[in-house]
Amino acid sequence: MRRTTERTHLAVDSIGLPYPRYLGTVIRRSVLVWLLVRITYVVVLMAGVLSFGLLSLPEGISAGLHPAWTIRVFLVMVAAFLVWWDRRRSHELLLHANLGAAPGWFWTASLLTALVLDVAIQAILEML
Amino acid sequence: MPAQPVFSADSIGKSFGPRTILKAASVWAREGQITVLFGRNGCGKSTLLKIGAGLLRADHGVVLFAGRAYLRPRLPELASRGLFYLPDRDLLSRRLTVRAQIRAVEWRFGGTRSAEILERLGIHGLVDRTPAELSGGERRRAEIATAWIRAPRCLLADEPFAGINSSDAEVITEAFRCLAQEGCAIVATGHEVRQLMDTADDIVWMAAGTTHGMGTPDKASQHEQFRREYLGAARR
Repeated sequence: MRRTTERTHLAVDSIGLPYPRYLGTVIRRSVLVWLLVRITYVVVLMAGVLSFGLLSLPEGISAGLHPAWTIRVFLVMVAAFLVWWDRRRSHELLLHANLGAAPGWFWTASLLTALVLDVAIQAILEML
Repeated sequence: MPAQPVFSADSIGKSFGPRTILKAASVWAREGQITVLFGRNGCGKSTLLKIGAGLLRADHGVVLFAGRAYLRPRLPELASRGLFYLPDRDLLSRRLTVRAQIRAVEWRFGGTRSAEILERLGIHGLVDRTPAELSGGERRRAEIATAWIRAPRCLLADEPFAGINSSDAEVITEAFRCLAQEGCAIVATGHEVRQLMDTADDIVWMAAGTTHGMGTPDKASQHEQFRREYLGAARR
């Protein structure tokens, strides 16, 4: 029994499991940041369309609602980066490193959250 | 014969661009002892601790911890084996309450002594505040409490007494002594000569990119060059 418990602890150590509640906080922030990034993209694009006439208004709306996959990937990466930067700015990296949590968990959580949102929201927009 | 160190950063070299900070610096920590690393501002004490904690990569040298050698240590790996790195500031997140951060430590490493430790450090009534709402001394005590609750095998504390008043410093000194009594190997840096000399079991002096083991505080304070070049009037 004791050997099993030790093995479980070793497994937890080796994968650097993060504190679940804090991981939840990072995921919630990722949702918020991805939404902000996406809204900012649409606002900037529409401002460009209206100010400089780079695209016609219908083309601008279409590009805002259905961005190219390269732009979608870029927005997902930007969201993940901003979540990391926000964690760094509020000094949240060190304690979790001291708890043995591998930083990859938080990057993966941010990226996956943004990716899932991107795919889900885009699927909804395609249906409209 | 002194006990084998639990932790040591051995022959560490580090340059930032053309500027060489560390040539061959070493620091160590023995079970139940407090090693104090002295040195002038900018001589590389914090760099050496960061390399020892796996936060910076050394150009050469090796970190030994709990019987294992690491050429490229990483803090999460060392931390899961019992190391705790206490930076000179901002260990705790400014956004989350102290209680939430202590819960994270308890979740990861267990521990049923948090109430007692918080009481001893005089911050039991402040745990529902965020560190941003605490004074510098209170924040420092909360950080020390976090380290103590973790019950590390080795604590690397960078300037733990910097910017705090003497009553907070006394509380922190007492906490370090208790941690050492519980078997923790501690390395602390700082410039508070009297405070640190009174706390230390072993002194290491860093100068010109290298380190010198000075032995006990009594031996160190008799060392002519150390007295002349570092202690000055502080220990006469």
